[in-house]
Amino acid sequence: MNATGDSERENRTEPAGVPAGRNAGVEPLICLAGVSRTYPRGHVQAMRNVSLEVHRQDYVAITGPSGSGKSTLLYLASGMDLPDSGSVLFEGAQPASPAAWTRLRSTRIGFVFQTFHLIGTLTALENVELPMMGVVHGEGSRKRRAAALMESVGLNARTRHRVADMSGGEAQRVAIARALANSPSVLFADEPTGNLDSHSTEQILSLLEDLREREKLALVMVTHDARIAQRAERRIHLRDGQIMAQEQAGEPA
Amino acid sequence: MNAITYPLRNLGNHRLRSALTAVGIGAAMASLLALVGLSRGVDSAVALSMQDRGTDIVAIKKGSVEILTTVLDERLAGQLRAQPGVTNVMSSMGDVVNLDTGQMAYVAAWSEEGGFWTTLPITQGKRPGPGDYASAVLGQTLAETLGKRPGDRIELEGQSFLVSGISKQASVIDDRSIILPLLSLQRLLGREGKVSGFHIRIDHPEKPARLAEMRDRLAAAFPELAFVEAGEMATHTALTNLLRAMAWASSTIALVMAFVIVLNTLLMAVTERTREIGLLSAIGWKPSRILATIVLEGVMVAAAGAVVGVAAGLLSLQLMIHHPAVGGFLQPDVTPVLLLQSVVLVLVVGALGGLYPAWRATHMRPMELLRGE
Repeated sequence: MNATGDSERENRTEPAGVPAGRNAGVEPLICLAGVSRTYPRGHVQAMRNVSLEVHRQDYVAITGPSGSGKSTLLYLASGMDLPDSGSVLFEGAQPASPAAWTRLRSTRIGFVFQTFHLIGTLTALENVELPMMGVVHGEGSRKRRAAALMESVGLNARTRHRVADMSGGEAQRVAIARALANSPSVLFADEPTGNLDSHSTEQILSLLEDLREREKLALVMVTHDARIAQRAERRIHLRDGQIMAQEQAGEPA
Repeated sequence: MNAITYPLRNLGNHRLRSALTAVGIGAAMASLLALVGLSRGVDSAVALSMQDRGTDIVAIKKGSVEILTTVLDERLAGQLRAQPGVTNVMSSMGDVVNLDTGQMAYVAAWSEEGGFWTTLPITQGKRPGPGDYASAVLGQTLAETLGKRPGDRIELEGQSFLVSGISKQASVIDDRSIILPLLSLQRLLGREGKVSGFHIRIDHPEKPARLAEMRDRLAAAFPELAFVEAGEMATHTALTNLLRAMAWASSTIALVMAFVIVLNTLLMAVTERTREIGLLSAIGWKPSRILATIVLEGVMVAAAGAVVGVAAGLLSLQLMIHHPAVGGFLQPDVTPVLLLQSVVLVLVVGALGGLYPAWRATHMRPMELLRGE
């Protein structure tokens, strides 16, 4: 599925200054080129001239201390925030507008939040249905797809439960099912285990890795936990809004 | 879950607030229905009164703003009667007088010529005979309100009249009036030889072109008079114009209040659900879909308000027309078209009330919304 449209294709650009990795020569799925972002409130420079590529089926961990810009990087890479300078490309094209990013998030980009961001008044199944409204036609089709996703995250017995009554681990599974609703190409996970105990953490990480393999997703995960980061194929360390180090699995930092 | 059930669920999550908003909108709509219905009722009563008299055209003094206070020479009736195409002329005078009970009543006086008295439907008693200027006929509703029967007496402006008969009239105005021979009211008011207007019948009034032609021809022949088609008479009466203006002014204020209520409710709802809206944007909901959802919430709460408003409006009108102080004096005219217009108006108000909060919500970046900024 391609939701970017022709107008976005016209904005195809070749980013400069992006480090070439093992995927050199292959068009990246997402490419940040010289991206900077300063928040007007408090004049916080959250991102400074960051360049980064994410390829299909990549497994990337973004690490760094609090305030290093990890979450900002995910928001910028998914079009939920826009850079002050630099460019963010999706499949080689720069989305022409916030609306174009919205279309991408509806079909190509999934997002999992640390605090789940589920709607407490809806059931688990309805939360998973939400992204499909306007994309998958027919309430019955949406329900069937949501039920299948709930099963894929091991929660088929909890579809009718309100998420407000669920444990953290269960809620995050629902959030993962929701992120996969429209079969994205990339899944961004912002500290997905940050609010979970160690048992749930292991379950969620295994689930994400499993789904990445099964759905052939790129997985970009923010974490402050070095042990979790070690599971990724590539690790990017941020500090003060800059990439301090990039490390490929099996290579020294 | 679909595009209808999702906003419904949102409203259902705050049942009390949604219900109170609907009641507020309902109150605004009820006042709109009641006021406009009453104003139209007066218009209808004037039109029905004209129809009962068989009036095609009314002649009043040119430039007069209120038919009750217009003064014309009654001898003009003869000249009008002599015009080609005119088949009948009835001279009339109307005024509001004080009764000995302290209440006020409309008095309609009619000339002996023109056939008014022979066609007046009498349900009890009899009509005043020729030359009887000490008798009056009461409209049935007024007679019931005052508890008068034929043979009783009624005091008008300090003068006593015998109630000779009771008449059942179709128009609520006529049915609550006192009907006197023209000379009786002229003497009572000290306006001998004067009338308020002339009710004219023409040949072939069923042809609109003929009506317009006669009106224009009469206007040319009598430049001191204004000729109004009977169907438009309500708009030439200052009292009904005032009522209509008041009804619309009050209704507009009520609608503005309804708009502010919806706006306030949805602004609160959107502010409370900033993160939820951010989430919808984060998972790829188009701004137009988010906007439509919020606007639909406004329309839904307005629809509930419309149901409350229709019920409350009709109920309050019923209470009003059965109230002893105004019983029978008011006859609201609430047609299905007026109901439909009011409902559509309220739904538009609901949609407009939701528009700004929706616009505000969709013009922020998802990240800002998710952070609750």
